[in-house]
Amino acid sequence: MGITTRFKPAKITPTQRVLGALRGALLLPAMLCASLTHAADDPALIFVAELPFDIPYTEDGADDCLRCHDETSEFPVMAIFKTDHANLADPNTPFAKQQCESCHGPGSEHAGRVRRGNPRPAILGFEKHSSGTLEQRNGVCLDCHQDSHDFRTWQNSAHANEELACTDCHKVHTHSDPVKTREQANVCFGCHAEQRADSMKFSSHPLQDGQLLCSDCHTPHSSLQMASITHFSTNELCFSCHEEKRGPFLWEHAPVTEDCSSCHEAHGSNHPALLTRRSPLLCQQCHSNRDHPSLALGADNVLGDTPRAEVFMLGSGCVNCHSQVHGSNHPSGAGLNR
Amino acid sequence: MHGLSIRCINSKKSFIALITGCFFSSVAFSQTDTAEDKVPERTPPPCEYCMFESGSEGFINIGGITVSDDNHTLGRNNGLDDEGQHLLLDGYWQKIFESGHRLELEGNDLGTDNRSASLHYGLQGSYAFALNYYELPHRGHLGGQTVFINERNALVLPSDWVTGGTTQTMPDLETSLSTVELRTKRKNSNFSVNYKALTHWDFNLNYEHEEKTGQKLSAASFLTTTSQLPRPQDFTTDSIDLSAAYTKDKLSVHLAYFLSYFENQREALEWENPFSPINGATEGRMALEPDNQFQQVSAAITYLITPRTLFTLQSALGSGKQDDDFLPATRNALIAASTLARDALDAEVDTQNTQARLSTRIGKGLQLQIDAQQYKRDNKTEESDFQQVVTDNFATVVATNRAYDITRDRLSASTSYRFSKLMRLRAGVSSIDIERNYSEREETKEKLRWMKADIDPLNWLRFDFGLTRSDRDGSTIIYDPEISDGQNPLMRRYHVADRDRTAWRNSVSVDIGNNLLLNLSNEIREDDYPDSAIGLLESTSEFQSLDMSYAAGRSLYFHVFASVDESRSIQSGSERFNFADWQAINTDTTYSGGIGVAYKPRKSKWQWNADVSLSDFSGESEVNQLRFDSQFPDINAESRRFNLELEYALSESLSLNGGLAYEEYDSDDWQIDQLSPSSVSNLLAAGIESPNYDITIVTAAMRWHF
Repeated sequence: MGITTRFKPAKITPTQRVLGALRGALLLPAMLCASLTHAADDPALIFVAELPFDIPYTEDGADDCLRCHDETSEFPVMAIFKTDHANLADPNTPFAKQQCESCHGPGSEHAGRVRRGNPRPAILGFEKHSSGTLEQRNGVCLDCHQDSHDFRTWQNSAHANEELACTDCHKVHTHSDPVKTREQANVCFGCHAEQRADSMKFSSHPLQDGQLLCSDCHTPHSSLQMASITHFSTNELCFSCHEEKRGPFLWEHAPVTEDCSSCHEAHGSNHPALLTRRSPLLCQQCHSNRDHPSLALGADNVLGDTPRAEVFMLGSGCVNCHSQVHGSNHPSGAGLNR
Repeated sequence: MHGLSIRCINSKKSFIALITGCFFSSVAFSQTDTAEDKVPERTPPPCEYCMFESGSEGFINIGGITVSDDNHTLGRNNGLDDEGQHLLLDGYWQKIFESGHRLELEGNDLGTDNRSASLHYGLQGSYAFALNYYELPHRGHLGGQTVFINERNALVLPSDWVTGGTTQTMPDLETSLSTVELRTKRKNSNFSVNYKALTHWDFNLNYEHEEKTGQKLSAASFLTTTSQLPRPQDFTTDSIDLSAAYTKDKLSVHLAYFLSYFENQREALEWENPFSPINGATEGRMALEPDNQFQQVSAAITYLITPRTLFTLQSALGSGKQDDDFLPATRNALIAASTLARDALDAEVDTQNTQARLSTRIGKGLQLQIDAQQYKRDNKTEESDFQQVVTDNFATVVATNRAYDITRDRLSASTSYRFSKLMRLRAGVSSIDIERNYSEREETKEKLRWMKADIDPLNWLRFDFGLTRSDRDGSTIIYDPEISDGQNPLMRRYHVADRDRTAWRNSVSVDIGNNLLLNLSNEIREDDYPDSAIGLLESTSEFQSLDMSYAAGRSLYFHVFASVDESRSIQSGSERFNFADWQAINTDTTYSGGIGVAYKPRKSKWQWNADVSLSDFSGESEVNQLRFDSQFPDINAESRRFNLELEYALSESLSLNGGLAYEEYDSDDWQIDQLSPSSVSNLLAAGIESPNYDITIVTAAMRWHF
């Protein structure tokens, strides 16, 4: 339960309006944060597996489950024994605790005898249309994994805001979880269709063959950064592989120091070097100095029937001469050509 | 229902007060009800049917790969870019000791330039050691040619080379060309240790050594002539990443240190001038990427103020340095350049990043999140005057290096309310302020508002709508000749120009019985630069996609996707250096799609999957001017791929596997096609071509499990 608070709009200069809104912004969340801590049945940011306490565990534990759920059953589960979750050496794994029921909850009713014609009582499942709510399903995973710093802020993350379940991306009952293998990008592309289309373009990072993983650049579980990147800024992320462009250079190119994505598309482009456009038009979006940077270069300047093939257009365009576009450390390199 | 409207949060003080207020009041009222209601523990019973891993097991997969032709796309990063045969060799072996320790050895693609190998040892939940090695090749353009010969770390011309004023008057050009391989390779070795102590601490150490060698296409000029040439890459990077994390109850702390040291074995690219030299410039020298280092310390604290209120504070301080000795101002002995201001740059750039986020849930449906971020780049490098010797031809003006600083502040607040299972509304506001030095506009301010609605009218049907609006303006734009470098005063660079942005996204998703998933989405973004006369005037991008997957039972899977991606921009320029007298319209359109089938029954000897994917790009540019309208030739790139993988089990321990990958690639690129070394009088081109080929890759191997 919460406190209902009303705000009466102030009268009403712009300044007062702003101050009033700020005051409201200051007070309301504070009061709500405090008061609503008493609402014990609400979803929390720290998770406890919401398992049915009033049902007893099975008598024989996993054996009761595996009598039915062998490799011939509708829900085969044996691949779990190839995974970290079934490593008995780790006392924190499900199988070192309540075995199958660590995650699926006490299952004596589900495993017990059922009158003919009656449905078998459901047990907590992890597929989207299973019996568990999103909070229940994620709560089971986070009950253990939130002890790691990496997962502590899951509830802050972009994926949590999209109401994703852990099992939307992760497969527990398989030998190798696809999202933790070279197949990862295909899992991400299931939602991020634009990035898949980009990865198929002429110039792209090697996502298609799995040499680069989405998680090399993005943190799926928690990040305070825009686009959930793994580093503190876009440039720091790019420089983690492209260290040669890090500098600092004697002659810096201003947009390089600010944001690589000013000129490059991170996921793919049909222009060389993942550029958003190609030179010279890309460069002319910022440079309109006297003489050649201002020229209207058109088809007359392209090879073919016309004779005026121009060095400004063909090959690499502006970069034919200004090849130190990421910066130069040469004393005479102010024009980024040495 | 609790409603909350954050109408304007644009003050750092207010934000800090907000966090502080929330923090103290929450602590004051909160109960210590974190998580005491655990399921009652019981001793797990012995398990007869559980097939826990023990002992050792592994496999070897050995066979061959045939590549039908040289290619630039299908094999660009996996070492299969050359025609010929390759060994296919993968292997894995693990041993689990009675103590629970596990030793793993793994090798993949050992017969190709994309090989990787690893050794892992550890006790899960306690500690882990890992040694990894991998190679990552990258194939540049095919068909490169050059007259330069790489000798003694310099690109020299053939001994009998006769220079010419133009490429057409170089008598030895055609006979002196040789093929140049434009490819690079990374070789990465890394070692990591993870140690979990006392259940709450987690320590990580990662050391990485990477070598990147090869050459890529670059260019080097003398005044009005230039040559495309291979630029060597001989880089080494060593980095160390140390971190410690403590997580207990409500508190989580993460401390980290990162050091990266980059070394370039080549300090300069020297080349001989193939053109008739002007003013004695027979040779040129270009500075290659200087050695540099970057280190950073960071700390993050996450505190659960109440079970529903989470606060995270993160801060990172970084420092980048570079102190390579300068090259002389020119290689031209005829030019007496003035003495350099100093021998090396002694550059230092500090970075600072501080972020905070407060999230709270209120009731069952309301969620509030507030973010603040400040990023600073402080370039402390001394600014000095350097006399410029332009392309080793003439000593000209003195230029002063600029130490670019930037400060970016971002404040945002968002809220989400789920009315019921049927509907959720979300909304947010952000402000982004950026300050730059040496810019015509010292400060830009952007205000962003967004809202989203998720509607689930049925359990299997969902609609998503999203709308984002942002307006960017800033301080007065001042064209100071010292800063603007002769820029047309009407130019508005797009990253500082006034901009109105509108973006919306709509999608519908169908999810029936965990078997059928269908998603249709449409995303449009429109940028308008209302006060720009020269520069980027408007930009629009539109993306539409369809995605469908279907599982027919637990053995057969289908997947279909298709998308259209179109971006269009209009920009203008001024040849006369006054008002805008030309305009360019760029339109890029990409169609992509694919169909995949996978058949993986548990009890069958056969398993296979196949997919077809298509990508079709066209790029159009049109320049309209007072004296002419000009349509560029189109840029096209079409790729059709087919991929088949299959496996047949001969016995429990032996299986055959194979695959067929086929790609038909057709492309046209007016910028490089038919651009021979002598096509342009003042450009000695490398003769690269846009890719056009059919390529087939066949693999066959036998896998032995032991």
